Amino acid sequence: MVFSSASFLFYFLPLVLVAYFVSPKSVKNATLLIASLFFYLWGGGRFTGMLLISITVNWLMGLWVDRCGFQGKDTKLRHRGSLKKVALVSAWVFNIGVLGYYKYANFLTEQVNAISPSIFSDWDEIILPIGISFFTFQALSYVIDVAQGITPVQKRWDKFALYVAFFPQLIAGPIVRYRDIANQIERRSHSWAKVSQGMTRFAYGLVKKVVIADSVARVAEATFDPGAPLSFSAAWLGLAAYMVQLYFDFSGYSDMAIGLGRLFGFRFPENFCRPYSAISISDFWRRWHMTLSQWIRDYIYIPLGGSRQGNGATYRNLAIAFLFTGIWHGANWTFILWGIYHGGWIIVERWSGWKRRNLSLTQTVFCRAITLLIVMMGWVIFRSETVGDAVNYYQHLINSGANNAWSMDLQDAWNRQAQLCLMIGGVIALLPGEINLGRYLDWSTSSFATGVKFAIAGVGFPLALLLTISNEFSAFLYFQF
Amino acid sequence: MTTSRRKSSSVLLPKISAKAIALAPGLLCLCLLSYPLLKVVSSSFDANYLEVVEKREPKRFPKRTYFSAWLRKRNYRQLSEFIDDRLPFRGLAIQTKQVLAENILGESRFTAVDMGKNGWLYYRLSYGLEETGDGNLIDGERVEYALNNLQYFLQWQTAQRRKVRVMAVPNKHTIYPEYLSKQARDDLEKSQPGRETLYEKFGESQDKRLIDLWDAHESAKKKSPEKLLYFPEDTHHSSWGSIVLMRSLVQSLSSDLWNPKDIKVHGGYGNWGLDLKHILGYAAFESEQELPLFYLERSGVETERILVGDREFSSLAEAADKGLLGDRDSILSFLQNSDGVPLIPGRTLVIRDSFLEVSQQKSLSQYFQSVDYIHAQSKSLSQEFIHQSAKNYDTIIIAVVERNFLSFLETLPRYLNDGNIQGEKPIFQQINGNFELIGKLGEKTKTKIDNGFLEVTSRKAKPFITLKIPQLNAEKSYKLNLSVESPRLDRVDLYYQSDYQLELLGEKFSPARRISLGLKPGENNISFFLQSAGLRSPWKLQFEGGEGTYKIESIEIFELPD
Repeated sequence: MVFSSASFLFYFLPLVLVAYFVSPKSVKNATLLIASLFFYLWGGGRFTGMLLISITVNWLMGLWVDRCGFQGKDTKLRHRGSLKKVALVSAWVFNIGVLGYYKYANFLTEQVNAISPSIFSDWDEIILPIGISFFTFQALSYVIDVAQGITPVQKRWDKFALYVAFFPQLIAGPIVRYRDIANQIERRSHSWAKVSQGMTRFAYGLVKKVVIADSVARVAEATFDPGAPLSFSAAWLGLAAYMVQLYFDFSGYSDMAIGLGRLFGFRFPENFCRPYSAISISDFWRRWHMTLSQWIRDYIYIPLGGSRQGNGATYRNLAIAFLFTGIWHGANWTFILWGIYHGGWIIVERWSGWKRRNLSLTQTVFCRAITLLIVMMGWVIFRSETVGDAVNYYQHLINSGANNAWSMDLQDAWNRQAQLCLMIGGVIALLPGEINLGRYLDWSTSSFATGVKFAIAGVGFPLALLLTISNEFSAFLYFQF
Repeated sequence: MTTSRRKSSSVLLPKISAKAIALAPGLLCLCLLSYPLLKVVSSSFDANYLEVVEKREPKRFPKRTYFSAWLRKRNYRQLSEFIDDRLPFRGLAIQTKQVLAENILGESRFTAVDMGKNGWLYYRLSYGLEETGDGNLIDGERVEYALNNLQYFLQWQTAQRRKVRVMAVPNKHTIYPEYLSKQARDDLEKSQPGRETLYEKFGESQDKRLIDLWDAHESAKKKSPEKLLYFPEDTHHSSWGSIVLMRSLVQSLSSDLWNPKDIKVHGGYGNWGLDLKHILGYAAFESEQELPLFYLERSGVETERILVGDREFSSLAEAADKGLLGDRDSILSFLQNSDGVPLIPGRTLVIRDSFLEVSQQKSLSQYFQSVDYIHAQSKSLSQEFIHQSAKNYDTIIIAVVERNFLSFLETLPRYLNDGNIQGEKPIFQQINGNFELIGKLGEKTKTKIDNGFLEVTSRKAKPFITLKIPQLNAEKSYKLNLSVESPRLDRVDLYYQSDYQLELLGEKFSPARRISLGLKPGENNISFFLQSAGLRSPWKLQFEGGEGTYKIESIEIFELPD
């Protein structure tokens, strides 16, 4: 089930809200857990069993790791050396093993088959469980945090299950860490203000996704889809459309998740902070998919040594972290190259000693433009289905002398709605870095904020619902990751 | 005391209202989620919209309701569709969206429909010569191929002497180009050379066997411009346009049969289901321009028998009551007698399209002693039927609208080629049981040869087969013809290999080298065109609809002319 479907908006969400608020306090978590499992069952079918296995194994791992780390009634952390390491390695092996099997086995067998076709000739394609990258990372971070004594162990299976499977963030993030919501699972407050705040944030996200991202999506598809005829202007238009689509789609989804969490009294971490206003690639990664960046930083980059072991080791660690980021996004050479591309730029920035302090306005504008261009070039690899397609796309981006005709599909897609949405999306995406409308709407009580909220509730949200009712289903982009 | 109470209440009131104002947007959004409650008042409107505009039954609740069925995604997908179809005022939402796009955004093009001048609508996919495929603009290669096929058609036509006639119906934009938008004109220009070549060659080949409606339409338009030949908001003829079509048809078969006095004016105005308005999503049916109704009535001619398939009816109304008239697959037959008024003698077969619907068929039948109408996409129109028709009928008329001309020439020769005519020889052929399967099948895919068909069945996943083909010439282009019976409205993807692409990247079958074509439920004869150089084995045919049985009758690969 996706948030922008009629089934979710008009049936699932209202019913869960009613059930939740009429439930006694003691069963509120259980209500949410049952609803979340049903939510996953709707989109994931039989893979719900796999989700339950993952939850249970990680919960047991947490208990095991905890037993290795604590002794008796003493709350001080005690290291039990090798046994704890075994437990932790087991957690890594299990989670990465499951993720690797479902997400990367097809890719690996294809590579082997390319060299020696007989080895996996009978290989049946494995279907990817929805949201596996997100819930696997959440569960793994919990076990690591328990091992490191950062967070207390959760002894109740149902509460841990709610943490992993809570439907707002289950299939496309943000990647919430247990430490962020451990207390909220135990107790949280509810108020009309939170409900209203959550609903407004949800509506804001839905407008971003349904009104803007979906409107420009066809323009991107008409240029990036394999075999689509390209020209210089078409390639640049498609790339701009994809830049807007991806940001509004994914950040819209995160807004919806954060809003839904708020409805039920949770506060999720922010996932985006005006990424296209970044002045460097390192700055971009502090603003784009922030929960993933933080996860990679805390569980990959820092354990590898971070930047504490000299320049060479730092570059190596950065390269590994970004390679991992690329691989996390999908089993394809394009994602691997995309990760390497970003890692490479980060290393270049670090090597050149680039600092972002005390920039003049002109320098800021220049840095933003360069960073945006680098990010956009990266989206070409990210969006292309094969490396060959990406190379072909780059050729058209560069070759201005080529024929500038647009395909019929692109002409169709480039309608007034797409033009308007690309313009609005572009302006919003490129506003000064300090302006963050989502967060601003959360806390501000100014008359401007109230006016914007009324505009969302009175115009944007009904329009998004109208499009949802009358449109065909369109899946969120980040589900594939 | 009084003053302080006043003070506190005046401070309190703005506070309460500010809080309420802050809460209002979120709560308003929450209230909007109760939208399904409107179902109480929307039922009749919703049912009407689905039935009349979308012309379909609402999706049903999942068939499988036992416990384990609810562990499968399929049931939830069906449940979502069930819910979507029952959303209150869904039709109204679709129309509102359309109105907003047209009036606020000033949109002039919606997928298949172009908004022309003065409220005229055009079916955009008819600018080229065909209405399906990748885009609608044809290329020279396809025209060449179609013309290559033309010779097989001519051989067959000549063998039947002069009784096979082709009636070419012009598209609306050909007769009324003045209302086209600039964008549409630009598109038309792109396909102009291809269209002209094809019409010219076809016209030359047919000589007097072609029932050419272009001149008839042009002169009718010139003579009475106020009598519109097409509906401004539909792809089809108005009743006056149908009269012009029928006049040309009758006159071409018998020059002295047509009598202008047969044309009657109804006196009222038609209430039509306008197809282009439907495509745009509107439930409104009345054309903004009211067109007078004309019909034909020949005195002295009486319809003796009406047959729908094998069933006889005393009137069309009776057949309509049984729900048999909307069926494309049945043959509709009329047998007339007259009290001395001349009729076209013998048996006539009309292979028709939507330009000859039931009312036109009835009117036209008054000029024939015996006439059978079969839809060009009818299941009954098999190769065998056509060959039998050559023996059973005295006159055969093939009516084809301009937009279907290319596919007509691509597919009909195949039907006609019974082995006696020297047709092109496929360079690769897997047909009638000679299937050689190599490599793996799709997950849970099973195949069997049954009665000359290769049945590809899958219970859980998209079924596919891989084909071992010979190395093909790098300098040539190829065409793969596939005859397949599909269980549903579906899509089939052909993945092919090419030296030209970056195979070293390890993508054995990549979407970059995939051609997709639509399948309709039932029999399909489709062609894939491959232009990449250096095509090599293996290829993969994958049915996207998933589970079900696909019956492949034949797979043939042809080399295209240089």
